[in-house]
Amino acid sequence: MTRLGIAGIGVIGPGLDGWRDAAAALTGCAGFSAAAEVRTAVAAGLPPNERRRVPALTRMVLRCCEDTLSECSAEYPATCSVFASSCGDLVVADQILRALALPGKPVSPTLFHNSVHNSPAGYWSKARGDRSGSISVSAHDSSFVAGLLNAAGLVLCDAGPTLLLAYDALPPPALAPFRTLLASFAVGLLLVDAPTRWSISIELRDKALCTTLDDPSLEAMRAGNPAARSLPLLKQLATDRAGTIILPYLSDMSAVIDIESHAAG
Amino acid sequence: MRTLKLSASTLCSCLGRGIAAHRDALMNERGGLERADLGETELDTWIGRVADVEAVLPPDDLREYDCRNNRLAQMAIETDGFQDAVGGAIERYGPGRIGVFLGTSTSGIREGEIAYESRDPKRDTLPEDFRYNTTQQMFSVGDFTRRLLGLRGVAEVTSTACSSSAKVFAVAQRFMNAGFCDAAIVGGVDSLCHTTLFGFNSLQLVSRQVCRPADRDRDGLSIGEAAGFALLEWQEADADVCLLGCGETSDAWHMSTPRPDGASAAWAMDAALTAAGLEPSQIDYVNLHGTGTRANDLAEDAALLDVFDGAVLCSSTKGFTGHALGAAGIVEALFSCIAIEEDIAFRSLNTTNVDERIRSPILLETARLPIGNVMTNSFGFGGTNTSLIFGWAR
Repeated sequence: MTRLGIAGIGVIGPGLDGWRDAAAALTGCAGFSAAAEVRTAVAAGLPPNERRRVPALTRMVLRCCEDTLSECSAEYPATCSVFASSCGDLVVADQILRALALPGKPVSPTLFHNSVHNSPAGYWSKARGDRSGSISVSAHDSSFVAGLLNAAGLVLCDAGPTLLLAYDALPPPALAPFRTLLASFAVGLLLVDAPTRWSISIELRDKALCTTLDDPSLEAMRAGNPAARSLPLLKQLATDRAGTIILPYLSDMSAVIDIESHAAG
Repeated sequence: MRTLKLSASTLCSCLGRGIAAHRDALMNERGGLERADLGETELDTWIGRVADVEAVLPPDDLREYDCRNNRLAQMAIETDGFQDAVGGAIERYGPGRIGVFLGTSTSGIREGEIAYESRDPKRDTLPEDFRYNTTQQMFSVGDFTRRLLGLRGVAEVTSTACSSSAKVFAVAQRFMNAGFCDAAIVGGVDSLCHTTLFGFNSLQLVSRQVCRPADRDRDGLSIGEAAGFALLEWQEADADVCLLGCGETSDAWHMSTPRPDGASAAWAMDAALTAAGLEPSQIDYVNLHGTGTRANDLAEDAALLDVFDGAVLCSSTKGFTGHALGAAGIVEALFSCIAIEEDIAFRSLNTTNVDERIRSPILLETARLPIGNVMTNSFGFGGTNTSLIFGWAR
């Protein structure tokens, strides 16, 4: 497979407000605790009246999009986008389902349009004023790999630079027993077809294989959120060394990712 | 990019079970919408319900996936010999090389609605037997379909509101082009639920009458349910109806209202034409998104005028089926194939007086003429636009 360049990385997670924080934790330069707070920002780029309607999950996603493009936004003013999430916004789903159980079923129109799986994609396109094509997918715990395959497919089909954003947030209490996640997490990659600091190739295997992490806290995070399944890839990128990692995909497959680093020095 | 053919397909909607039932309904101008049962929905509206979904039962080993959405998926898979066609493809490619790409907007959320109706208000807990992961969860119908068909390759659900199952054609094309699979099952499944009925109602987009796209008296959409699937393979012979091009754009405008000037929708149509290597004059019929809301039909017409300058026959088929939301893309993709195979352009059912502000030629009568290439539009919340072009292989 043709190699893909990675032109930007973003991470939002417990105690991780950006890729710099994540790289420090992944290379052992800083500690990591899944119990740390996940900071969310205001939805910059949207008008104030609309900013108030943006749910917390989408604010986390928008913040991660900005982090991913923080060093290359001017170079890539427009990108296709792939949003990958196992469950979408379960806080919004919970609020709608509660309303539907009441007499008269008083669903709020804002909640309803915020409930679509592509809601973060809609807000992102508007915040950035980017009319490029966008897709929103789910493959349960394999949603990060599903998103990665979509983003790779777009770049390989000459659709141009593609922003991949994978995310899942903690479910509200009523749904938590049915969908157990450790903490909220979001990761972004900007994939391009030109040489950059890193390049990757992806190969699918018909075996369930998986690269795990030595640090128990990071490994728990990896297993505890579908977007954090990306952590072995992020760790390899953070070390700036060539290597191969394997991410599990569906119940019976895996994605073998070969990483090359072209970092100066 | 190489061309993809549709080598098998199946469809269930309120028009009936199977492609032939749909062909018959479309050609004989017979719609499938009915006045909603008030006891059930408490809404004065019309819906497109698929008959006998309740009678479908998943196989024993997939019983945990049981919900209306997956029953509807299974019903379609067991129709039109689709399961056998996939069996043939498994022999040709192997189960690990056939991808599953399905669109849905609400998955099995009806199960979540039922669970919340039984919520314990004191402890704020849901019934313990609520199967979130295999029903309401967004990937449920993709996982269920992959298992039901005995496949072991790539699989995902695309959920971009009402463009979901149009997008899956573009996704499958990219996955096959990248070598992630050698053939693809594409499709869409969305089933009636309170979330969409009362959600669209809260936006004042649900019609009190049977939906009448492009009519000056239109007052919204009628919600339907549907499941459809197609098997996509690389085209080899000339006698196949093929996917010729896809175009995808974003409005970057508003979460639930289309750009009034239709600029991004027009860009999606242009992109599909470019991908297909066709001029606007080579499109013989456009199957409109045509939901019957005031805003959509005007914005889509603005886009259409921009691209075709009023020179292409067009109609929405949502007067027949209602708006099947995440399944609308596959329904109308397969209607486009019927139009090509039968040389027919469908009338806009229930439309009597076209809104004078709409200037594209809306078909008020069924037209029989040579149809080579058809464009079908699917737009959705979040400002997502997808245009597909189908036609005979060239």
